Amino acid sequence: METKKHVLEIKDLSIIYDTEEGVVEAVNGVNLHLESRHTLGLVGETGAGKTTTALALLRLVPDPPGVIKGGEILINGTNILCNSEKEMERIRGKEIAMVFQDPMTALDPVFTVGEQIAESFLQHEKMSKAKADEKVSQLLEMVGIPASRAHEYPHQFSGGMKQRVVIAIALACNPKILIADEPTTALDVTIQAQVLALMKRLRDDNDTSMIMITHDLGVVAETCDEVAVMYAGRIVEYGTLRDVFKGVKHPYTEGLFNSLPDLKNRQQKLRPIPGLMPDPTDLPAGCTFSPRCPYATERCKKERPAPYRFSDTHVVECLRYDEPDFHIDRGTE
Amino acid sequence: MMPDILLEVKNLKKYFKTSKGMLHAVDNISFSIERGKTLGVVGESGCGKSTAGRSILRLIEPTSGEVFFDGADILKLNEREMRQKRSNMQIIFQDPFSSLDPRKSIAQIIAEPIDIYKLASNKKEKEKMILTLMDTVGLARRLYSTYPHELDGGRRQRIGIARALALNPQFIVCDEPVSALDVSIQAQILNLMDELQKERGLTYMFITHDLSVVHYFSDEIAVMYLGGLVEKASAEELFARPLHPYTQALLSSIPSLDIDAKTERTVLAGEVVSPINLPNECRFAKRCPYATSHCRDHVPELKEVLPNHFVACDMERQ
Repeated sequence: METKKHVLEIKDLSIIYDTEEGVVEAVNGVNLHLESRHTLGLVGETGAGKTTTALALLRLVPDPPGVIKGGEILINGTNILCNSEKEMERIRGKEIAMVFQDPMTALDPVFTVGEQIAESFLQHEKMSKAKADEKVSQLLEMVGIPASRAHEYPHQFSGGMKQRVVIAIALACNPKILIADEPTTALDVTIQAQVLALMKRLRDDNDTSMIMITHDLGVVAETCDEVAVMYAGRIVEYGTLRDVFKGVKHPYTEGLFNSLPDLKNRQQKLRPIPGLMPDPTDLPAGCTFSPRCPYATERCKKERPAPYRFSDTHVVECLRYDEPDFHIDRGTE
Repeated sequence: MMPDILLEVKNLKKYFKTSKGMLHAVDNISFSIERGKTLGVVGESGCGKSTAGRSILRLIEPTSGEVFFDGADILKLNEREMRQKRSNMQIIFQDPFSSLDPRKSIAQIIAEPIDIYKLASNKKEKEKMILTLMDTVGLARRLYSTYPHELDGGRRQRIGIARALALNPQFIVCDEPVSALDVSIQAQILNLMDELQKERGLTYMFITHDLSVVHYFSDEIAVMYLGGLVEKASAEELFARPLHPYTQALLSSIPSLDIDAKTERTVLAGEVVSPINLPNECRFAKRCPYATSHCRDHVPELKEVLPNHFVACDMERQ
C-alpha cells in the first residue's frame, strides 16, 4: 500500500450544540482525510453535519452553543484544535480558506469588493496601497471580473459575480486547502457551470486541495476525486468517486441515488427514502439510519455499526455486510 | 381527434414600469395545456416564469393578452366572476417557509379556502374535510393543531398542496414546489403530486429551474429566456433534440451523474441581460455562440419547425 500525502486529516471528530431544547449531536466521530491536490466531496442533506464539520476546520464553530467534544484535526501534522486563537488567525485564509454558500450574505454591503478582497491578504501581509490595488486587480481578473469593477459595491454585482468575488477572497492568500460550502447552490445552472469550471481551473493552477460540500450528487460527479456521504453526523460511506458512483454500498447512498430523476430514463420511478432525518437531539439507538432503512434488521436497531472495509479506499458503516450474502438492490443492477 | 385543451394562453404580456424604463417580465408568450397533462416551464432566475404563472391566475394583472380556461377568456371576468373561477385554478408556492401564515395552525390554514367558499355547512363537516385532505397528502392526523414552525419543509409543502386541493381544482400552477427541499423529500413530494394528478385528472403548470425534475415530471416543456418562450416540445423530444442554442446550453450545463460520460459542455459566456428596454434583436443574441448580424436586428418568432416542436430562432431554420 502506497502512503499518500494527506494535507488534512480529521480523526474521530465530535461536536455538539448545547441548546435549551437539548444537546444536538451534530458531528459524531467523523474520520476523513484529504489528499494533496484532490477534491473531497462531502455529501448529505440538511442537518447532516456537513457545515459544522467545515466550520470546525477553521475553528469557527459558534461557541456557545457549539462544543468540540473530541477528536483531532491535523493540518500538515499539527492538531489545530490545540492552537491558540492567535495561531488560528494566521492559519485562516493562508492555510485554509472557505467559500460560503450564499454570496448574497457573505459580502459586506458597505465596503467595495476591492476593499473586501484586500482585507483578506492585508491580514497576513503588509504592503503599500499601490501594491495592494495591483494584487486586487490580479485576483479579480483571475476569477473573470474586469479589474475596473474593484470600486463597486456588492449590490452592483449579480449572484454569479458575487460568488466569483467570494472565491477571489478565499484564494487571495493562495491557501493550501479550500473549503467550498455549497458554492453553487444559490446560482442558476448555466452560471453554476461557469463557477465550477473556474474553481476546477484555479485548484489546478494553484495546487490547492479542496473540500466540496454539497447536496448535489451531480456536482460531486463533476468535481470530486473522493466522496464522503454524511448522515446524522457520521460518515456512512466513504470512497473514491468510482467506488461510490459505480459500486454504491450503503443503503442511504442508494436511497439518495434512487431519489433523483434519471435523465436517460423518464419512466424510471422515483423511489424516495421514507420518513425524515432523525431529530439530532434524540438520535435513534443503533444505526441512525435504521428507522428509514429498507434493509434494517432487529440488530441494526440496537448496535452501532462499525466501519466495514471493501477495499483500501471504500468504507461503509452498515452492519448487514457482516452477513456474507448481503447486498443492496442497486449493487446487482 | 382534437386535443382536449384546458388552458390556452395567447400573446400574454406583463410589463412593469420601473424608474429605468419598461421591464418586460413576460413578453408575448402563447401556449396551451391539455387536460390532465403537465406543462413544465423552465428557465433561470428572472426569466419571467413565475410572473407568467401568476398572471395566468390573475394574482397579478397581465398587461395584455388572452387566457382561455375551459374555453372562456378569464381576463374578461370581473372580480366576482374571477373569484368563482379561481376555485378551479390554484397555486402551490415555492417556499413552504414563507407561504404559510405562522400564526395559524395547520387545520386553520387548510380551512381557509373551505371557509371562503363556504363549502362546509357546519363545524363537523369542515373538520372532516380537513382530515380527508390531510390524509390525501400524507399528513398524520395528530398534526391537526400544530403550527408550521414545528414542521420540516416536506410536511409544510404537503400543507400547501392540501390547501390547493381543498377546492377540488382542475388546474394547479406549481411554482418551484420542490426547490427548497432535500432530494429524498423532493422525491416524496413529486410522487405525491404524480399520484394526485392520476387520481383527480389534474392539469399542472410546473414551473422550475431544475431540468432533471422537469424532464421527469412534464409531458411538454416550455423554455423561457428573458420573458420570452424560446422553445417548446414534448419532454422526450426537447431533451433528445434541443434546437435553440439556449436550450442546448442549458441542457449541457446539467451536472451528469455518470462519471464515465464525457460530456461536451457549452459553457455560456456572460450573463442574462436586463429585461428593461429590450433592444429590437433576438433576446439571446448577446450570449449566443451562433449569433449573426441578422439576429441583432430581428426578433425571432416561435415557429413550428418539426411536428409539435416550436423554436424561436431564425438560424435554426436556415
